Amino acid sequence: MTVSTVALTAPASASAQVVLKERPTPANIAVWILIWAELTEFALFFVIYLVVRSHNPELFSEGPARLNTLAGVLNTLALLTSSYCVARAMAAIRSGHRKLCMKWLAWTLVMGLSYCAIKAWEYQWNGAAGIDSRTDLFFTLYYYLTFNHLLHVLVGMCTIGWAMLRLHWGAFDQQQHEGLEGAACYWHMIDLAWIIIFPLLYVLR
Amino acid sequence: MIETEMSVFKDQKRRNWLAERHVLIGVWLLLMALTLLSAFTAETADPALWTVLFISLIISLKGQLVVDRLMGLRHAKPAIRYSMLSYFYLLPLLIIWALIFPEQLAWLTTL
Repeated sequence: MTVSTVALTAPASASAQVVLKERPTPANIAVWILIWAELTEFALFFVIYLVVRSHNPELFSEGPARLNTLAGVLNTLALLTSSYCVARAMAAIRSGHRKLCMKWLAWTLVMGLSYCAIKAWEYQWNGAAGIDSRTDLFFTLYYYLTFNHLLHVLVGMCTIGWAMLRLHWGAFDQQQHEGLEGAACYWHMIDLAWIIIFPLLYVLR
Repeated sequence: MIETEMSVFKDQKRRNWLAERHVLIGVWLLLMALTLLSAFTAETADPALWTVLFISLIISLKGQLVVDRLMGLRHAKPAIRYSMLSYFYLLPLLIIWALIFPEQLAWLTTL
């Protein structure tokens, strides 16, 4: 038996046979179109990065070594943890634990704020090292990608915040939580984009 | 009889919830470990073919873990699930190609 499917068969009567499919596709088609549009936008940035890199191999080989790898790692850990918190929030609402769901959503926001704080520190660190968006092509793309991603994190935090308000007002429960699923999927999308940004900018040299 | 069925049902739901919690914790720890491993590779290994392949494999693994386990698409509609997973099959392949054969990509994109 999988985690996502409960098949409970009571032998007493035919009417007692209950088959529950607990985990259909989360959210709705509009959310998935939005997520695909966002991921396509990021994919275009990645293609541009790789094309520019192929024309400037030395510049893009030296660039990542000048970045603050610790900040990149901390950002990745914060975002992955935030995705874990959202997943726990969804598991909580599915099992009817609304307060627990609220707690995990609050932790998601804390992780989002941590990401923003680390990014601010990283930009300040870059500034102190004499790095800005006009330093060279690598750093132009670095700032373009990371700042664009930061804006998505801020939008995601507003979405999670709004979902928390609606949860507080009683709009979501064990049976009806499609809006919350939409917010959760959007947040995971932000994490997915960073999963590629991190190695592309900080790791691959 | 109905009360017994409901009690079994609640028991089953609780077991599922606990199992899901354990899976999520395991996935989170694995994602943390993969991130630290790729950062360690960046800091210690010289740029080489194997590092590109290794890092691309980690990207693909992390993407699949988030899509299937954290987003919960493992048992979702195949069209949604595979469209999301394809992102983490195609982009790592593109990264491998662009980093191992940059001259080809540069030639293809020169006006």
